[in-house]
This record gives sequence, structure tokens and C-alpha cells, in this order.
Amino acid sequence: MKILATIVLAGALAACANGPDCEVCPAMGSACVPPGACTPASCQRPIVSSALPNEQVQYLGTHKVGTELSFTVPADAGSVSIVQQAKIAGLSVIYKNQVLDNSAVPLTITFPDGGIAYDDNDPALAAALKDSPDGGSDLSRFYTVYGGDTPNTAAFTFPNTTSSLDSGVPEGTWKFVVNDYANECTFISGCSDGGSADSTYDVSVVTRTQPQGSTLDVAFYIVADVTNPSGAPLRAPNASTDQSVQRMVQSFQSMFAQVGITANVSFYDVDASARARFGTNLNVTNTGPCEEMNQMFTLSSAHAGNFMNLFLVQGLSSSDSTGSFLVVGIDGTIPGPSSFNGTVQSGAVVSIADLYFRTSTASCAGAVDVVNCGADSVAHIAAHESGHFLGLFHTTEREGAAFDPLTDTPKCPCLTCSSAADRPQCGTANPRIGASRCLSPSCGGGDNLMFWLLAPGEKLSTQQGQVMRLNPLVH
Amino acid sequence: MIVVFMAALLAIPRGPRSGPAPEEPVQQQQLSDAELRERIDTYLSALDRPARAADWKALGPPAAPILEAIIADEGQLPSRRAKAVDGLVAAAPDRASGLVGTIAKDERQPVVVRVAAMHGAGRVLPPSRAISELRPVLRNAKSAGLRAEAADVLARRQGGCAEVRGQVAREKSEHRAAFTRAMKRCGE
Repeated sequence: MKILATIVLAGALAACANGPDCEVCPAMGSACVPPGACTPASCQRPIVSSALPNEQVQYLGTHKVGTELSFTVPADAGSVSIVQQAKIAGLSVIYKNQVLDNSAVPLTITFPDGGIAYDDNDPALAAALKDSPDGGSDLSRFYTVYGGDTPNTAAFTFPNTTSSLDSGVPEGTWKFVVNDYANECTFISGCSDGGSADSTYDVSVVTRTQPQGSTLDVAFYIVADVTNPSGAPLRAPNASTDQSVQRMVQSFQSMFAQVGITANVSFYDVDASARARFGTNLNVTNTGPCEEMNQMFTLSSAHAGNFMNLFLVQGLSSSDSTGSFLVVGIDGTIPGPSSFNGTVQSGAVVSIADLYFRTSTASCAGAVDVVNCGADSVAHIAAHESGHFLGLFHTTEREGAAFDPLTDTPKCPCLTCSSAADRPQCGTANPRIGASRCLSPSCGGGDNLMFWLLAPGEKLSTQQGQVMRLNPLVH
Repeated sequence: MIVVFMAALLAIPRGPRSGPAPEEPVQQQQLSDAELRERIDTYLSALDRPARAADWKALGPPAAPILEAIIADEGQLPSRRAKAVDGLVAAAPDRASGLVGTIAKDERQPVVVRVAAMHGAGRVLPPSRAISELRPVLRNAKSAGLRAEAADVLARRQGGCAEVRGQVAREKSEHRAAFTRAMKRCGE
């Protein structure tokens, strides 16, 4: 089977006749692209510039995968983000009979002293997946880790582990190799389609200097067609005076305030067409660059700036041949391409289905209550997805076998914390660790904002705060 | 690419995807009432990684009365009620078939609950009944997005595309983009 590889082409390519290695793509100005690689005209995959000042951004130009590039890190650097934006890149590869998005990720990253900071094929990483005494993974000792699933537009940001938070980002000349999965498919075993060494990426490196930031600018895009309790449509002009929105914003701000981040919010509308297309039930089954969610994220180009873009829809669903299932939030990539507004990964989606829900008039008056106050539930989802965008992983994943790479977040491993019914299934994909089982000193994290479930509790650890405050989005 | 092995482990919302998942027989788990309720609460609390059909099916028909009570309870978050509809459709489709059409058409229900019911109707009702139940939503829902969602469900059912095409012709141009998904399924 031939993958339907879709190609992004922002630069001019020489026109060509159809041939074995070339296909004329009318949607791309009759440019020449590899066979079967023509993007539908409806699929927008913009390449954009960072909103940050020039002293923070090193633009390295357009490069083919496999190219080693250098960048400099100043003495006071707090974090580094390597940003790849596809100019020409296939959509997917088939690896061990699984269709994978063609994620962009540096092949290697090299410290100024020549040591390896990251290797996308590091066997030690594979070994670490099962090396924790509790049967799960412990990746906190690696300098940096990569979460996967970053097709087309990808930021690789560190520090994101305890190890790199502790050791910092050394000053000097660093190197990395431009890469995507399609490229790796040309030299590793297990790929049956999609391999290509011809992808090219627009490459930038963003360095964020110390001290850690303390302000996050948030842009809420009201995509859902929602009416407030008095029957008026919720739109940007009335959002800031809407009591439920006010409560949502206050709760959202309180979740970030605990780690020293002040969230400033603004609201934007989208046009009626986008509202009708995306606002009711966004299909998030697939999240490649041409899919609904990712095309919606490009709407953020309407408002330039360094924003955490949160798109508010009624609902999202993931479906397959067995059914359709509601999701209440999702982030484009972990981390997101901070400061690059308008790309196919420039934001996260949040359901506001619960915004006006409350069990009593007093429900939304006191402390954050995600059970009885819908505005608080929305705030929790928004803050959780923002945490992903800023580089945080789930503290404990649903199977209880994978944890974030930070040492100060409580863990809830399956082998010791799951129910009697679940325990025999530890180590498989079947167990589901409930939040109520993760509220003790030995089984913790159920009350962390980044727990895999929406449950009462919005705690954040010191290291989680550090990762977020070092992200280029927080200034 | 070592991350491929980690994708499902490293706490990301999505992982590798395969083609359409075959509907494999699921063994129903023997759970106490407390365990069953705990499991349902966990599934209804899913945030960015939803419980799947196999999760719900493993709970089997004993989950139905609990889920039906949640669906009917207006004191529960609408998103939880919608997830309960998803769960009931998977765990007890026979019981769901008696509910989904009514909920889908009920303008007083939250949008996400109606959307879940529409998708459930597309799964548990025979095509002709799904069309008759969802036609009022397709034609009369106040929200263009809801009409488009009904179209998306009907486009998957035999005989549904004629309904979809007729509705698209009636829609204002600014709303037609919302029907793209359905029209693609109908070969447009």
C-alpha cells in the first residue's frame, strides 16, 4: 500500500513533467512534488515567524533532513526550543504495521562539549521504559525526552526533565540534526512505507533567557455556538462580563498563580463559517496537519502575538469503527510551538459544554469545584491542556505504567495502587487508574492538574512550575 | 523513533494509530457494585484520552442502570452525561436504542448530550429508524453545527445521503462548510 503522502510546499519548486519521481501539483502552483504527495488546496499549512524579538530567535533557514545545524546558547539561557516547520514533508509513515504521523524531531542534539543531549534512537531510552521498580518508566534522569506525535510543525523544548532542570542549559555552540520519521524510515528497520530523505524544514531556534517568566498571555477563541442563560450568544464582546466566564477565568488564573504565573486573558470570535464547521463537535480522531483540529488552529494567525491559544468548542470526539467518544480537551503537541502563532499546532482545544452548569447558586462561589461548578471544570480542562502546550506530561498515565519525567510529582503505579480487579492486568493496556486511588503519600497525583483524569484537585509541583515558566510563552 | 514505543506510555493524548479497529469479542469483567461504580466514574472523568468501546463493553449490561441514571440526571455535568451516552451505546446497545432517538431530538438537552445520542442512534438503530429519528434534527435544529452533526451520522447510514444532500441545498452558504465531512462520505 502506498501512503498518501501529502507535501507542504511554501517555497518555489521547479515545474516538471509527470514522471517516476515527480508529480505536478496544481494546488501548489503546478510545483513538482514526489508522487502522491499533493496537498488538497483546502489544507492550509502555514510557515510562520516567531513573535519574539530577534535576540531570542535564531533563524537557520530551510534545510533538508539529515543536515546538521549549529546554534548558540547565551550564558543566561533558561530554555531552548528547536522549531521545525515543514516545507516539504510526507504526512505519515507505516512502521511495524502502524500508521504514524510523520513527526518532526531532531535526530540528535549535541551539547557544546560534544556530548549527546538527545538521540531519537537511543536504546537507553527504550530500556528505561520498564526500569522503574514499580514496573513503569522513569525518564527523569534523561537530559530531555520527546513525547511524540508532532507532525509538520514541531517544537523540541528543554529543559523538560528533572535532569535538565537541575543541570541547566550550558552556554556555547550546540548542534542538532534536522529530522523527521520519514527520514528515519530510510535507515531503520520496520518501516514499510513513507520513507523519504527529501523532506525539508524551515528551522528556527528560540532561546529563552533567565529568569523564569511570570506572565502568560492567553487568547480564548470562542468557536462554539453557545448561548448564555439569558439566551444571548456568547461572543467576545460579552465574554468578559459573563459571570460564568468570569468564574472560569478566575479559576484558571488561580491554577497558574500557585506556581507564580499570572495569566492575562483576551477573547476573540471566529466567523460564522468557522463556528459552524468546528464549534459543535470537532473530530479529533486523527490529528494530522490537514485534519479539522489542526486547520482550526491556523485561525490564530488572525491575532499576532505570543499567545497560549485556547479554542473553545462545544465538544470534541474521537471515533473509530467501534463508536464515537467524547473528549473534553486536547492539545496540539507537547510542547506547542510557542510564539509561532497560526500554525497547524498553534493551540489547544477545550470543551465548554459545562460552562453554565452549576448544581446550586452557591456552587461557583467558593473554592474551585470541578464537580458542581461547570465553569471550574472548563477552567481545569483549559489549564491542563495549557500545561501540555507548555511542556508538561500527565503525571501518571491511565495504565499506571508511565509517568512524567519529573521527580517531584507524585506517582500512582498500577502494581501498588490499582484496584484488585485491575491489578492482574498491570503491564497491559487495560488497567485504568482512578483518581480516588491516587490520593495518598504512596499512591499520589490524583489531585495534580496534570493527572490523566479530570478530578478534583489542581496542584502543580515546583518542577512543573519551572518547566512552564521556562517556556518561551511565559514572559 | 524510539518514541514510537513510548508514545502510548509517555502520557500523551494520542499514540500510534492503526486502521479501523476490528470489533473483537470483549470478555465481560466480574466486578462488585463498588468496583463497577468506580470504573464508570473513572471512564466518565476521562479528559484527553477517552474510554473506548472495549472498556465499556467489558463492563457489560450491569453498567446500564447506572449509566441511564447519569444520563437522566440534570445535576451531572453535561460532558459526563454525554460520556455516559457513549458508554451505554457500547455496553448495552439494546438499552441505548430506546433512549438515543428521544435525546437526540430534545432541544432542552445540552448540545454534547444530543451529539452523543445522535452518534449512538447511528450505531444502534436500523438505518430507516435512524433516518426518521434524526431527520428532525437535520432539518430543524437551531444550530447549524447540530444539523451538520446529524448529517455526519446519516451520511454513514444506507439511504442517508439523499437526506444530507437535500439539507445542504437548503443551507446558507456560510454554513455549508460544516457539512464537508458528511458530503465527503456521500461522495461529493
